Amino acid sequence: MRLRILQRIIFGGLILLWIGLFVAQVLQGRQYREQSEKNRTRLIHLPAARGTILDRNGVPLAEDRITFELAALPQELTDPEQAWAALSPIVGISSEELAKRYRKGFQAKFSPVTLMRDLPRDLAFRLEEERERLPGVLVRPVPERNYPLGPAVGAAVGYLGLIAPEELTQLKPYGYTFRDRMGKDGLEQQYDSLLRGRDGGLHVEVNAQGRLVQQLGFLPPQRGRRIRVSLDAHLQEIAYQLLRGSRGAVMVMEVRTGEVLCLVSSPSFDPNAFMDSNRQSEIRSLLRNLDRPMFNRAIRAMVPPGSIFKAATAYQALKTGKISPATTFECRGEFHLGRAVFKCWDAEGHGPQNVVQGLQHSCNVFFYNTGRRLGVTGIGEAARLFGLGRSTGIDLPREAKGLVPDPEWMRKSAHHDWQEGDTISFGIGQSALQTTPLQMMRLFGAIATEGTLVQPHLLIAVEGETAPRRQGQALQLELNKAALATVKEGLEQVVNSDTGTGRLARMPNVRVAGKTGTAQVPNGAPHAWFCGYAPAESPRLSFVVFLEHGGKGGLYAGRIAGGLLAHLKEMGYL
Amino acid sequence: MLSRRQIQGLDRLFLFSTLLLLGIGLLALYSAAFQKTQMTGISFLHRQLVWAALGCGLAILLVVVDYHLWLEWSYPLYVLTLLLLGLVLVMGTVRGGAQRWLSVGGMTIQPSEFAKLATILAVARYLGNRPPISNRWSSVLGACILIGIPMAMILKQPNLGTACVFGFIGLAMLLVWGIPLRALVIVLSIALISIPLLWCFLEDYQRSRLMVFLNPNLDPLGAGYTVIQSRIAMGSGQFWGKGWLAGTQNQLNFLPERHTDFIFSVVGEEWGILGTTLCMTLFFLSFHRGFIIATQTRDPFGRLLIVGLITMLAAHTLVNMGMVMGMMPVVGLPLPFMSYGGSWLMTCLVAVGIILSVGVRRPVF
Repeated sequence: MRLRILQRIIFGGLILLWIGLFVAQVLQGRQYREQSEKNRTRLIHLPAARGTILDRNGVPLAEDRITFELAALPQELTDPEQAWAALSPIVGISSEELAKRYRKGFQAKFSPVTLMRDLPRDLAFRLEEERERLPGVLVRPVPERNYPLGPAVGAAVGYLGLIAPEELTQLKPYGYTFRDRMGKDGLEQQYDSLLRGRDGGLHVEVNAQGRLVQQLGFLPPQRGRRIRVSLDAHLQEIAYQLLRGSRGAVMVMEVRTGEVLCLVSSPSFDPNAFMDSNRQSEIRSLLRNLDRPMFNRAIRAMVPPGSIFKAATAYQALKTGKISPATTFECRGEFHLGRAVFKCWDAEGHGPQNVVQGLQHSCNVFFYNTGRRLGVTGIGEAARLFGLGRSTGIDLPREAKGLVPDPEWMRKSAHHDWQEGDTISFGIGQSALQTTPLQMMRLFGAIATEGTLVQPHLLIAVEGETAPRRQGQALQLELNKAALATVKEGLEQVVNSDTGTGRLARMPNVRVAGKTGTAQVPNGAPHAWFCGYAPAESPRLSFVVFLEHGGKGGLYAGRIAGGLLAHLKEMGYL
Repeated sequence: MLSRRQIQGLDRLFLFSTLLLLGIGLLALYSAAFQKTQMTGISFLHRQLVWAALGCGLAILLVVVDYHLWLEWSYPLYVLTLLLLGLVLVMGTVRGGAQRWLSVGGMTIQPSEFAKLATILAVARYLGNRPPISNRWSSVLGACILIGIPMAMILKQPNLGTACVFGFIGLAMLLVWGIPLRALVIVLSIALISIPLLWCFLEDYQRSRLMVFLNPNLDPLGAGYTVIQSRIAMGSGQFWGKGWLAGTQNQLNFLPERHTDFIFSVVGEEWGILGTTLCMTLFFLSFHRGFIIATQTRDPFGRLLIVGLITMLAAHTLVNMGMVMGMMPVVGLPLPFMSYGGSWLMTCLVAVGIILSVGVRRPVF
């Protein structure tokens, strides 16, 4: 009878096991079948190449090129130490360094770890030949964003970065994934949706070691679209070199169309650095640098324009009849308002000045008087007429709007009433007036074209679209011809008369018009400006040179403007 | 030599079931080792066939010779296996952190498998000589010592699974012999109390296996990997199976140890519930016939012998299938007749021979 007990225990066990079998194979069978399918197949991500950004002449500013990278596949790497030892003499990196890169880059068993990027071609071939000796090590082609011009296009083109987790939740519906890089600034950000391609994939059967057994499906990656922008690569490099690393910006624009030929901010950054994980320290130092190389001064610096704003003041005063071309004010180097003293930049004074001379010599006293006659409303009207205080609508991200102050703003933000002294300095582009270099270049463009206030833009064509993208929506201003002619006469004298402040920008064959500016700032040396257009008789281009704390506009900014104009002439733009 | 009457008394259903299991095992092994054989050129099937042939010959010999002869020799055999087990601890081959094998002339043997047989013989002789009427407590103690010595040595290797099998065998034989219920309770409670003590003596890999049994996803690429992959293989076989040589889990190498301990998951994946149910039915039939022989025999030695052997086979079957399905911790017990391994296959076939030997000598009505 005891035997029967034992028998029942054993048979009971068998029955329990059979129930277990039934549950696993019949009731949950479908689910396990799916899991075994997932087990045996992998989706290999094939990144799509990003669209190329070409300059107006077809020179690439940003392009994906095929590079070779050295990677290790963890699940096939049986003996890492030995692999590093074998690799080290070939690639010329110590095995400790290789081990360190491997540890840092490890994510999952089936995901390759990059050990070296951008291998020279002969090294890639050599490694491929040695493949038998190096199990688990592979050389693979990777499309990589390359910026041939480096820092010269940093501000305009921007750079790529990984998507931040918080952005990802927002962008997921548009097909972005966590491993995607997206434009973080400049054109790369602005036209990310055009430039990014559609990633493909390879569906393969693998064994437990992750080795490929057979291919099941293939979705080819789709390259992003190529775009063409109005920038001139050569001009970018020249302008960047002219700035010589000092803080500032240089821009050139076609006055009729608003096409931006040149947009340089300095100091700049090399967008290639963001594509290379071995240049992390360089990126950190870029972010820490007090000169702020990542800050696009051309469209985001909000600074007082100083004397270059006098062109607007002069136009408004002439148009409204507050002054006539014949009106003169005597400059003795100082201007008195009650007990307050406002100085002209020339302490000896300019003597009697009319409006053309006022512009030509950049006489502050003349414009103190003019500004006082116009009043804060009049000056503010002039500023807003020429598009200050609002964004120009350029196709680049995060453009600054600037600020046109008025008494109400003064009360709300600065907490004191608008004083008559504020009006005096407002007239010469000081007070709380803040503009970007881009806005001032557009203002001079509007004067040059006698009223075309363009929307500056860079994109001119997209691959696959027949119609060119000239999206600039110009605003046609109704300007007073006579007043404008007087202002333009003044701007021409600035450069072309022997007593003009902008003599350094004078050209032998082309008549240039412009205005210098030396904008006082509370913290350090004044900002140097030079803004203008050429040729004076039938303007094609307007330009701006801005030097942050650059001192005298007529001197430093004027010299750069002169150099820039010479090159523009040489390149056939003038 | 057997008489004609004895030959007719051969338990054909038992023989048929075990031989069929052996055949299914060889087919499954061919599939499980298919890739490995193609790559390395080592044929696991050939080796297993050699072992099977040797084992069958041995079984025939055991049927022909009266098993009482082996009972005579049981104590010397017992001492011999203890010596072998001692040798394993001193100079055994270490594989996967455990010292279980002896290398003899290029072959490795696992003495713990043979120790099961020797211990069953020794315990059967010891208890068979002592009817459960007088001195029952001292007999229980003696049997416990007989089982305890090899069990402790195997635990030291360490080989938790096999040690447990010794425990099951001992309990079953004592139960059938007629252990007083009070003594049974005491033995069981000692066993239960020693579990936490045992935990302290376990190797890290054994602890992790037990932990992983409780939650396989604890370490899906490490200790839990085998269980998860085996369960996926079993379940994905569904009703009809994926077909012989067509199991993706098996052929694409997702199942580790699939030709030895996890052979049953290959059956499950490729032959579906049809194949697994067939195997279980055959196991059931063979155990059932074994118990019938045990009831019919008048010989207390023979009955104890069969109980020990059937318990050994059943314990291996239940624990192995349980672990393959993730219903029990992975303790490394092979499946009778089917798992690859010479020592174990020989042990199983010897057990078949002895059971049949008892069967042919039982009184037939």
